Amino acid sequence: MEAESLYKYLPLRIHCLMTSLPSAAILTLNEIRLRVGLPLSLSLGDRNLSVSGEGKLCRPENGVTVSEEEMRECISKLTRSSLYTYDETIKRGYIPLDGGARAGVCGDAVSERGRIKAFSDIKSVSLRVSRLFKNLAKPLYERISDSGMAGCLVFSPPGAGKTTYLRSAAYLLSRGKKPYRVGLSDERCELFVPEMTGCLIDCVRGCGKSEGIELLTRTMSPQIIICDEISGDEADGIISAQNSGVRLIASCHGDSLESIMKRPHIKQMTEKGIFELFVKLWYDGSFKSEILKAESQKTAKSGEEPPGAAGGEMI
Amino acid sequence: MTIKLMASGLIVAVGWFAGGAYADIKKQGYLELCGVIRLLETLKSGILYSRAELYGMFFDFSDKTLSENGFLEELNRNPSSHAGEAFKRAAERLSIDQKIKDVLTAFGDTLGLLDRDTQVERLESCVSFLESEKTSLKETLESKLKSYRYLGALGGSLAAIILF
Repeated sequence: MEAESLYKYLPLRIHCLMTSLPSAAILTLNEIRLRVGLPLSLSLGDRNLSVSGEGKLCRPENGVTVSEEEMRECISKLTRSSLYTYDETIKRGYIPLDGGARAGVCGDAVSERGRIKAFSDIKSVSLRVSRLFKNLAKPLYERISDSGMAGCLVFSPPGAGKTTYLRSAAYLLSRGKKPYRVGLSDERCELFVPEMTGCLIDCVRGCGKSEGIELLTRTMSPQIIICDEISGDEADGIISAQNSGVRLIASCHGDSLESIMKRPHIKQMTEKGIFELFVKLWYDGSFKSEILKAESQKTAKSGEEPPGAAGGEMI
Repeated sequence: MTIKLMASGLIVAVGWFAGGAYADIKKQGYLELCGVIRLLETLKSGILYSRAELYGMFFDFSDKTLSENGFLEELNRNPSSHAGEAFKRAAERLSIDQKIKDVLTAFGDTLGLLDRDTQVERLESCVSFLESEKTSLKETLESKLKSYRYLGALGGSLAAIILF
Protein backbone atom coordinates (compact mmCIF):
# COMPACT_ATOMS: atom_id res chain seq x y z
CA MET A 1 0.00 0.00 0.00
CA GLU A 2 1.25 3.46 -0.88
CA ALA A 3 1.33 6.04 1.90
CA GLU A 4 -0.46 8.43 -0.44
CA SER A 5 -3.55 6.25 -0.35
CA LEU A 6 -4.00 7.28 3.29
CA TYR A 7 -4.19 10.98 2.44
CA LYS A 8 -7.87 10.73 1.54
CA TYR A 9 -8.60 10.19 5.24
CA LEU A 10 -6.80 13.35 6.32
CA PRO A 11 -8.41 16.75 6.88
CA LEU A 12 -8.17 18.91 3.79
CA ARG A 13 -5.47 21.29 5.13
CA ILE A 14 -3.21 18.44 6.24
CA HIS A 15 -3.85 16.55 3.01
CA CYS A 16 -2.57 19.58 1.06
CA LEU A 17 0.53 19.88 3.28
CA MET A 18 1.33 16.17 2.90
CA THR A 19 1.22 16.34 -0.88
CA SER A 20 4.00 18.96 -0.80
CA LEU A 21 6.46 16.63 0.99
CA PRO A 22 9.35 15.13 -1.00
CA SER A 23 8.60 11.68 -2.42
CA ALA A 24 11.84 10.26 -0.91
CA ALA A 25 10.46 11.03 2.55
CA ILE A 26 7.09 9.50 1.72
CA LEU A 27 8.81 6.21 0.81
CA THR A 28 9.96 5.82 4.42
CA LEU A 29 6.67 6.99 5.94
CA ASN A 30 5.31 4.39 8.37
CA GLU A 31 2.69 6.34 10.22
CA ILE A 32 0.75 9.61 10.25
CA ARG A 33 -0.50 10.61 13.68
CA LEU A 34 -3.05 13.27 14.55
CA ARG A 35 -3.64 14.48 18.10
CA VAL A 36 -6.18 17.16 19.02
CA GLY A 37 -4.46 20.40 19.96
CA LEU A 38 -0.99 18.95 19.30
CA PRO A 39 1.31 18.91 16.29
CA LEU A 40 0.79 16.46 13.47
CA SER A 41 3.46 13.76 13.68
CA LEU A 42 4.99 11.54 11.03
CA SER A 43 7.07 8.41 11.61
CA LEU A 44 9.68 8.27 8.88
CA GLY A 45 11.84 5.21 9.43
CA ASP A 46 12.82 5.52 13.09
CA ARG A 47 12.45 9.30 13.21
CA ASN A 48 9.42 11.23 14.46
CA LEU A 49 8.97 14.47 12.55
CA SER A 50 6.19 16.89 11.65
CA VAL A 51 5.15 19.17 8.81
CA SER A 52 5.35 22.95 9.01
CA GLY A 53 2.70 25.33 7.72
CA GLU A 54 4.81 25.73 4.57
CA GLY A 55 4.68 22.00 3.88
CA LYS A 56 8.28 21.23 4.94
CA LEU A 57 9.48 18.50 7.27
CA CYS A 58 10.32 19.92 10.68
CA ARG A 59 10.71 19.04 14.34
CA PRO A 60 7.40 18.10 16.03
CA GLU A 61 7.22 21.31 18.11
CA ASN A 62 7.27 23.41 14.93
CA GLY A 63 4.64 21.36 13.14
CA VAL A 64 1.06 22.31 12.33
CA THR A 65 -1.42 21.75 15.15
CA VAL A 66 -4.47 19.55 14.60
CA SER A 67 -7.72 21.26 15.60
CA GLU A 68 -10.79 19.58 17.08
CA GLU A 69 -12.70 20.34 13.90
CA GLU A 70 -10.00 18.64 11.81
CA MET A 71 -10.11 15.56 14.05
CA ARG A 72 -13.88 15.37 13.48
CA GLU A 73 -13.29 15.66 9.76
CA CYS A 74 -10.73 12.85 9.90
CA ILE A 75 -13.00 10.58 11.99
CA SER A 76 -15.84 11.27 9.62
CA LYS A 77 -13.71 10.28 6.63
CA LEU A 78 -12.34 7.17 8.35
CA THR A 79 -15.81 5.95 9.26
CA ARG A 80 -17.62 7.15 6.14
CA SER A 81 -19.64 9.44 8.42
CA SER A 82 -20.95 6.44 10.36
CA LEU A 83 -18.86 5.91 13.47
CA TYR A 84 -21.40 3.49 14.97
CA THR A 85 -20.62 0.93 12.24
CA TYR A 86 -17.12 0.57 13.75
CA ASP A 87 -18.21 0.14 17.38
CA GLU A 88 -16.69 -3.30 17.73
CA THR A 89 -13.27 -2.41 16.36
CA ILE A 90 -13.15 1.02 18.04
CA LYS A 91 -13.56 -0.75 21.37
CA ARG A 92 -10.36 -2.56 20.50
CA GLY A 93 -8.69 0.69 19.46
CA TYR A 94 -8.73 0.73 15.68
CA ILE A 95 -10.72 1.36 12.53
CA PRO A 96 -9.94 -0.98 9.60
CA LEU A 97 -9.27 0.76 6.30
CA ASP A 98 -9.13 -0.37 2.69
CA GLY A 99 -6.08 -2.27 1.52
CA GLY A 100 -5.01 -3.83 4.83
CA ALA A 101 -4.31 -0.51 6.53
CA ARG A 102 -5.75 0.52 9.85
CA ALA A 103 -6.21 3.62 11.93
CA GLY A 104 -5.44 3.28 15.62
CA VAL A 105 -7.68 5.44 17.82
CA CYS A 106 -7.68 6.46 21.46
CA GLY A 107 -9.20 9.11 23.66
CA ASP A 108 -11.67 9.39 26.53
CA ALA A 109 -12.87 5.84 27.04
CA VAL A 110 -16.29 4.89 28.38
CA SER A 111 -15.93 1.67 30.36
CA GLU A 112 -18.51 -0.86 31.43
CA ARG A 113 -17.61 -3.71 33.78
CA GLY A 114 -13.91 -3.03 33.33
CA ARG A 115 -14.03 -3.16 29.53
CA ILE A 116 -13.97 -0.28 27.08
CA LYS A 117 -17.47 0.22 25.70
CA ALA A 118 -16.73 3.20 23.48
CA PHE A 119 -14.76 6.43 23.25
CA SER A 120 -16.74 9.53 24.16
CA ASP A 121 -14.10 11.65 22.48
CA ILE A 122 -11.40 10.45 20.11
CA LYS A 123 -8.26 12.49 20.76
CA SER A 124 -5.63 10.63 18.74
CA VAL A 125 -5.63 8.87 15.39
CA SER A 126 -2.69 6.96 14.01
CA LEU A 127 -2.78 6.00 10.34
CA ARG A 128 -0.35 3.14 9.69
CA VAL A 129 0.97 2.32 6.27
CA SER A 130 0.81 -1.41 5.59
CA ARG A 131 3.63 -2.48 3.30
CA LEU A 132 4.59 -5.80 1.84
CA PHE A 133 8.34 -6.45 1.89
CA LYS A 134 8.26 -9.66 -0.10
CA ASN A 135 11.57 -11.14 1.08
CA LEU A 136 11.69 -9.96 4.66
CA ALA A 137 10.88 -13.43 6.04
CA LYS A 138 13.03 -15.29 3.51
CA PRO A 139 15.33 -16.92 6.13
CA LEU A 140 12.27 -18.31 7.93
CA TYR A 141 10.75 -19.47 4.66
CA GLU A 142 14.00 -21.21 3.67
CA ARG A 143 14.27 -22.79 7.07
CA ILE A 144 10.72 -24.18 6.83
CA SER A 145 11.25 -25.29 3.23
CA ASP A 146 14.50 -27.09 4.12
CA SER A 147 13.71 -28.55 7.53
CA GLY A 148 9.95 -28.94 7.32
CA MET A 149 7.03 -27.24 8.99
CA ALA A 150 7.59 -25.61 12.35
CA GLY A 151 5.54 -23.35 14.58
CA CYS A 152 7.13 -19.97 15.04
CA LEU A 153 6.77 -16.95 17.31
CA VAL A 154 7.98 -13.58 16.01
CA PHE A 155 8.80 -11.05 18.72
CA SER A 156 10.07 -7.50 18.84
CA PRO A 157 9.44 -4.19 20.56
CA PRO A 158 6.57 -2.17 19.04
CA GLY A 159 7.26 -0.73 15.61
CA ALA A 160 10.05 -3.13 14.65
CA GLY A 161 8.05 -4.83 11.91
CA LYS A 162 6.27 -7.87 13.36
CA THR A 163 3.20 -7.44 11.19
CA THR A 164 5.35 -6.68 8.14
CA TYR A 165 7.35 -9.85 8.83
CA LEU A 166 4.20 -11.97 9.17
CA ARG A 167 2.86 -10.53 5.94
CA SER A 168 6.08 -11.47 4.18
CA ALA A 169 5.97 -14.97 5.71
CA ALA A 170 2.39 -15.41 4.47
CA TYR A 171 3.38 -14.23 1.02
CA LEU A 172 6.49 -16.42 0.71
CA LEU A 173 4.94 -19.55 2.21
CA SER A 174 1.87 -19.34 0.01
CA ARG A 175 3.68 -18.38 -3.16
CA GLY A 176 7.18 -19.84 -2.84
CA LYS A 177 8.76 -22.70 -4.79
CA LYS A 178 6.77 -25.09 -2.69
CA PRO A 179 3.58 -23.22 -1.89
CA TYR A 180 1.63 -24.06 1.26
CA ARG A 181 -2.03 -23.45 2.05
CA VAL A 182 -1.88 -20.52 4.47
CA GLY A 183 -4.71 -19.41 6.75
CA LEU A 184 -4.64 -15.86 8.07
CA SER A 185 -6.50 -15.11 11.28
CA ASP A 186 -6.53 -11.38 10.72
CA GLU A 187 -8.33 -9.99 13.75
CA ARG A 188 -7.33 -6.40 13.15
CA CYS A 189 -7.71 -6.50 9.36
CA GLU A 190 -4.08 -5.56 8.73
CA LEU A 191 -2.31 -8.76 7.66
CA PHE A 192 -3.94 -9.34 4.32
CA VAL A 193 -3.01 -6.76 1.69
CA PRO A 194 -4.22 -6.54 -1.91
CA GLU A 195 -0.75 -7.54 -3.20
CA MET A 196 -1.41 -11.03 -1.81
CA THR A 197 -3.99 -11.72 -4.47
CA GLY A 198 -2.90 -14.89 -6.23
CA CYS A 199 -1.36 -16.42 -3.11
CA LEU A 200 -2.78 -19.58 -1.51
CA ILE A 201 -4.20 -17.62 1.39
CA ASP A 202 -7.54 -17.96 3.15
CA CYS A 203 -8.21 -15.02 5.41
CA VAL A 204 -10.61 -14.66 8.34
CA ARG A 205 -10.93 -11.01 9.23
CA GLY A 206 -12.41 -9.17 12.17
CA CYS A 207 -12.96 -12.04 14.61
CA GLY A 208 -10.92 -13.11 17.63
CA LYS A 209 -7.70 -15.03 16.97
CA SER A 210 -8.73 -18.26 18.68
CA GLU A 211 -12.10 -18.25 16.89
CA GLY A 212 -10.35 -17.47 13.61
CA ILE A 213 -7.85 -20.29 14.09
CA GLU A 214 -10.63 -22.72 14.98
CA LEU A 215 -12.69 -21.68 11.98
CA LEU A 216 -9.75 -21.98 9.59
CA THR A 217 -8.74 -25.36 10.99
CA ARG A 218 -12.24 -26.78 10.75
CA THR A 219 -13.27 -25.46 7.40
CA MET A 220 -10.23 -24.55 5.30
CA SER A 221 -7.66 -27.24 6.22
CA PRO A 222 -4.65 -24.91 6.06
CA GLN A 223 -1.09 -26.20 6.42
CA ILE A 224 0.03 -23.09 8.29
CA ILE A 225 -1.96 -20.51 10.21
CA ILE A 226 -0.60 -17.03 10.74
CA CYS A 227 -1.92 -14.55 13.29
CA ASP A 228 -0.68 -11.35 14.87
CA GLU A 229 -0.12 -10.30 18.50
CA ILE A 230 -1.28 -13.20 20.65
CA SER A 231 -2.20 -12.48 24.26
CA GLY A 232 -2.81 -14.50 27.40
CA ASP A 233 -6.60 -14.30 27.04
CA GLU A 234 -6.49 -16.26 23.82
CA ALA A 235 -3.91 -18.85 24.81
CA ASP A 236 -6.36 -21.58 25.81
CA GLY A 237 -8.38 -21.15 22.63
CA ILE A 238 -5.25 -21.23 20.49
CA ILE A 239 -3.88 -24.32 22.27
CA SER A 240 -7.17 -26.13 21.86
CA ALA A 241 -7.43 -25.17 18.18
CA GLN A 242 -3.81 -26.12 17.64
CA ASN A 243 -4.35 -29.71 18.72
CA SER A 244 -5.20 -30.37 15.11
CA GLY A 245 -1.49 -30.27 14.26
CA VAL A 246 -1.66 -27.28 11.96
CA ARG A 247 1.46 -25.16 12.46
CA LEU A 248 1.12 -21.64 13.81
CA ILE A 249 3.17 -18.56 13.08
CA ALA A 250 2.30 -15.75 15.48
CA SER A 251 3.78 -12.61 16.97
CA CYS A 252 4.02 -10.88 20.34
CA HIS A 253 5.69 -7.87 21.90
CA GLY A 254 9.02 -8.45 23.60
CA ASP A 255 12.68 -7.56 23.32
CA SER A 256 14.32 -10.85 24.27
CA LEU A 257 13.53 -14.55 24.33
CA GLU A 258 14.10 -14.59 28.10
CA SER A 259 11.55 -11.84 28.67
CA ILE A 260 8.84 -13.40 26.51
CA MET A 261 9.40 -16.78 28.17
CA LYS A 262 8.47 -15.18 31.48
CA ARG A 263 4.90 -14.86 30.19
CA PRO A 264 2.94 -17.92 31.26
CA HIS A 265 0.94 -18.26 28.05
CA ILE A 266 4.04 -18.13 25.82
CA LYS A 267 5.82 -20.61 28.07
CA GLN A 268 2.78 -22.88 28.06
CA MET A 269 2.45 -22.78 24.28
CA THR A 270 6.16 -23.47 23.83
CA GLU A 271 5.97 -26.41 26.23
CA LYS A 272 3.01 -27.74 24.26
CA GLY A 273 5.21 -27.65 21.18
CA ILE A 274 3.27 -24.96 19.36
CA PHE A 275 6.39 -22.86 18.91
CA GLU A 276 9.62 -24.52 17.87
CA LEU A 277 11.27 -21.48 16.36
CA PHE A 278 11.49 -17.87 17.49
CA VAL A 279 12.29 -14.87 15.34
CA LYS A 280 13.70 -11.80 17.02
CA LEU A 281 13.20 -8.56 15.10
CA TRP A 282 14.67 -5.12 15.53
CA TYR A 283 14.99 -1.98 13.49
CA ASP A 284 18.08 0.20 13.15
CA GLY A 285 17.60 1.92 9.85
CA SER A 286 16.50 -1.34 8.25
CA PHE A 287 14.63 -4.42 9.46
CA LYS A 288 16.88 -6.99 11.16
CA SER A 289 15.94 -10.51 12.21
CA GLU A 290 17.44 -13.51 13.96
CA ILE A 291 16.03 -17.03 14.15
CA LEU A 292 16.28 -18.78 17.52
CA LYS A 293 15.40 -22.36 18.48
CA ALA A 294 13.01 -23.14 21.27
CA GLU A 295 14.73 -26.00 23.09
CA SER A 296 18.23 -24.69 23.55
CA GLN A 297 17.20 -21.04 23.29
CA LYS A 298 20.44 -20.60 21.46
CA THR A 299 20.85 -18.82 18.19
CA ALA A 300 20.22 -21.33 15.48
CA LYS A 301 20.86 -19.05 12.61
CA SER A 302 22.97 -16.05 13.36
CA GLY A 303 25.86 -14.18 11.89
CA GLU A 304 24.07 -13.96 8.59
CA GLU A 305 23.16 -10.68 7.12
CA PRO A 306 19.55 -10.33 8.19
CA PRO A 307 17.15 -9.08 5.61
CA GLY A 308 16.84 -5.34 5.67
CA ALA A 309 14.40 -3.03 3.96
CA ALA A 310 16.83 -2.76 1.11
CA GLY A 311 17.14 -6.54 0.92
CA GLY A 312 13.40 -7.09 0.99
CA GLU A 313 11.64 -6.27 -2.16
CA MET A 314 8.89 -3.85 -1.47
CA ILE A 315 5.84 -3.65 -3.66
CA MET B 1 -70.38 51.47 -8.46
CA THR B 2 -70.09 48.19 -10.30
CA ILE B 3 -66.38 48.64 -10.62
CA LYS B 4 -66.10 49.36 -6.89
CA LEU B 5 -68.10 46.24 -6.10
CA MET B 6 -65.94 44.15 -8.41
CA ALA B 7 -62.74 45.60 -6.90
CA SER B 8 -64.06 44.91 -3.39
CA GLY B 9 -64.87 41.34 -4.37
CA LEU B 10 -61.39 40.97 -5.79
CA ILE B 11 -59.78 42.27 -2.60
CA VAL B 12 -61.85 39.87 -0.48
CA ALA B 13 -60.91 36.99 -2.79
CA VAL B 14 -57.23 37.93 -2.55
CA GLY B 15 -57.55 37.99 1.25
CA TRP B 16 -59.21 34.56 1.14
CA PHE B 17 -56.45 33.08 -1.01
CA ALA B 18 -53.71 34.78 1.05
CA GLY B 19 -55.19 33.20 4.18
CA GLY B 20 -55.27 29.89 2.32
CA ALA B 21 -51.64 30.26 1.26
CA TYR B 22 -50.61 30.92 4.86
CA ALA B 23 -52.55 27.84 5.93
CA ASP B 24 -50.75 25.84 3.23
CA ILE B 25 -47.36 26.98 4.57
CA LYS B 26 -48.36 25.76 8.01
CA LYS B 27 -49.54 22.50 6.47
CA GLN B 28 -46.30 22.20 4.50
CA GLY B 29 -44.31 22.59 7.73
CA TYR B 30 -46.38 19.82 9.24
CA LEU B 31 -45.77 17.49 6.29
CA GLU B 32 -42.03 18.27 6.36
CA LEU B 33 -41.92 17.48 10.04
CA CYS B 34 -43.62 14.13 9.36
CA GLY B 35 -41.02 13.42 6.65
CA VAL B 36 -38.07 14.28 8.90
CA ILE B 37 -39.46 12.08 11.68
CA ARG B 38 -39.81 9.24 9.20
CA LEU B 39 -36.21 9.80 8.05
CA LEU B 40 -34.95 9.73 11.63
CA GLU B 41 -36.91 6.55 12.36
CA THR B 42 -35.34 4.99 9.25
CA LEU B 43 -31.88 6.01 10.45
CA LYS B 44 -32.60 4.55 13.87
CA SER B 45 -33.62 1.15 12.54
CA GLY B 46 -30.67 1.14 10.11
CA ILE B 47 -28.21 1.95 12.89
CA LEU B 48 -29.73 -0.60 15.26
CA TYR B 49 -30.24 -3.58 13.00
CA SER B 50 -28.11 -3.43 9.88
CA ARG B 51 -25.41 -0.94 10.88
CA ALA B 52 -25.99 0.66 7.50
CA GLU B 53 -23.96 3.73 6.59
CA LEU B 54 -25.69 7.10 6.76
CA TYR B 55 -25.24 8.08 3.13
CA GLY B 56 -26.63 4.73 2.02
CA MET B 57 -29.71 5.33 4.12
CA PHE B 58 -30.03 8.93 2.90
CA PHE B 59 -29.88 7.69 -0.66
CA ASP B 60 -32.51 4.97 -0.14
CA PHE B 61 -34.95 7.24 1.67
CA SER B 62 -37.78 8.85 -0.28
CA ASP B 63 -40.47 11.34 0.70
CA LYS B 64 -42.57 13.49 -1.60
CA THR B 65 -42.55 16.64 0.54
CA LEU B 66 -38.85 16.45 1.39
CA SER B 67 -38.07 15.80 -2.24
CA GLU B 68 -40.10 18.79 -3.47
CA ASN B 69 -38.50 21.26 -1.07
CA GLY B 70 -34.96 20.17 -1.98
CA PHE B 71 -34.20 18.60 1.41
CA LEU B 72 -33.26 15.21 -0.02
CA GLU B 73 -31.29 16.75 -2.87
CA GLU B 74 -29.22 18.74 -0.35
CA LEU B 75 -28.79 15.67 1.84
CA ASN B 76 -27.30 13.65 -1.02
CA ARG B 77 -25.47 16.48 -2.75
CA ASN B 78 -21.92 15.62 -1.62
CA PRO B 79 -21.52 12.10 -0.19
CA SER B 80 -17.84 12.72 0.56
CA SER B 81 -18.69 15.45 3.06
CA HIS B 82 -19.60 14.80 6.69
CA ALA B 83 -23.14 13.41 6.87
CA GLY B 84 -24.01 15.55 9.89
CA GLU B 85 -23.10 18.70 7.95
CA ALA B 86 -25.23 17.53 5.02
CA PHE B 87 -28.14 17.00 7.41
CA LYS B 88 -27.70 20.52 8.81
CA ARG B 89 -27.59 22.04 5.34
CA ALA B 90 -30.69 20.11 4.35
CA ALA B 91 -32.53 21.25 7.50
CA GLU B 92 -32.13 24.84 6.26
CA ARG B 93 -34.44 23.94 3.38
CA LEU B 94 -37.36 23.25 5.72
CA SER B 95 -40.11 25.79 6.25
CA ILE B 96 -40.57 24.95 9.91
CA ASP B 97 -40.12 27.04 13.06
CA GLN B 98 -36.59 28.18 13.84
CA LYS B 99 -36.84 26.45 17.22
CA ILE B 100 -37.24 23.08 15.47
CA LYS B 101 -34.45 23.90 13.01
CA ASP B 102 -32.13 24.63 15.93
CA VAL B 103 -32.84 21.21 17.41
CA LEU B 104 -32.16 19.54 14.05
CA THR B 105 -28.91 21.52 13.68
CA ALA B 106 -27.75 20.42 17.13
CA PHE B 107 -28.62 16.85 16.23
CA GLY B 108 -26.69 17.18 12.95
CA ASP B 109 -23.59 18.14 14.95
CA THR B 110 -23.46 14.65 16.45
CA LEU B 111 -24.83 12.59 13.57
CA GLY B 112 -22.33 9.92 12.53
CA LEU B 113 -19.79 10.84 15.20
CA LEU B 114 -21.09 8.74 18.09
CA ASP B 115 -21.10 5.10 19.06
CA ARG B 116 -24.26 3.13 18.38
CA ASP B 117 -25.93 3.40 21.79
CA THR B 118 -25.31 7.13 22.18
CA GLN B 119 -26.30 7.79 18.57
CA VAL B 120 -29.60 5.95 19.04
CA GLU B 121 -30.18 7.81 22.31
CA ARG B 122 -29.73 11.17 20.55
CA LEU B 123 -31.98 10.06 17.72
CA GLU B 124 -34.71 9.03 20.12
CA SER B 125 -34.58 12.27 22.04
CA CYS B 126 -34.69 14.26 18.78
CA VAL B 127 -37.63 12.20 17.48
CA SER B 128 -39.46 12.57 20.78
CA PHE B 129 -39.08 16.37 20.58
CA LEU B 130 -40.23 16.41 16.95
CA GLU B 131 -43.21 14.19 17.77
CA SER B 132 -44.37 16.60 20.46
CA GLU B 133 -43.98 19.51 18.03
CA LYS B 134 -45.88 17.54 15.40
CA THR B 135 -48.76 16.88 17.80
CA SER B 136 -49.07 20.52 18.77
CA LEU B 137 -48.78 21.60 15.13
CA LYS B 138 -51.51 19.15 14.16
CA GLU B 139 -53.84 20.49 16.85
CA THR B 140 -53.15 24.05 15.72
CA LEU B 141 -53.76 23.14 12.10
CA GLU B 142 -57.03 21.38 12.79
CA SER B 143 -58.42 24.30 14.69
CA LYS B 144 -56.97 27.14 12.68
CA LEU B 145 -56.66 25.97 9.08
CA LYS B 146 -60.12 27.30 8.11
CA SER B 147 -59.70 30.32 10.33
CA TYR B 148 -56.75 31.50 8.25
CA ARG B 149 -58.96 31.67 5.13
CA TYR B 150 -61.79 33.42 6.97
CA LEU B 151 -59.33 35.84 8.52
CA GLY B 152 -57.89 36.49 5.09
CA ALA B 153 -61.36 37.19 3.66
CA LEU B 154 -62.21 39.40 6.62
CA GLY B 155 -59.02 41.32 6.20
CA GLY B 156 -59.86 41.75 2.50
CA SER B 157 -63.36 43.04 3.37
CA LEU B 158 -61.95 45.55 5.83
CA ALA B 159 -59.46 46.76 3.27
CA ALA B 160 -62.31 47.14 0.71
CA ILE B 161 -64.45 49.14 3.17
CA ILE B 162 -61.52 51.43 4.04
CA LEU B 163 -60.65 51.93 0.38
CA PHE B 164 -64.15 52.51 -0.99
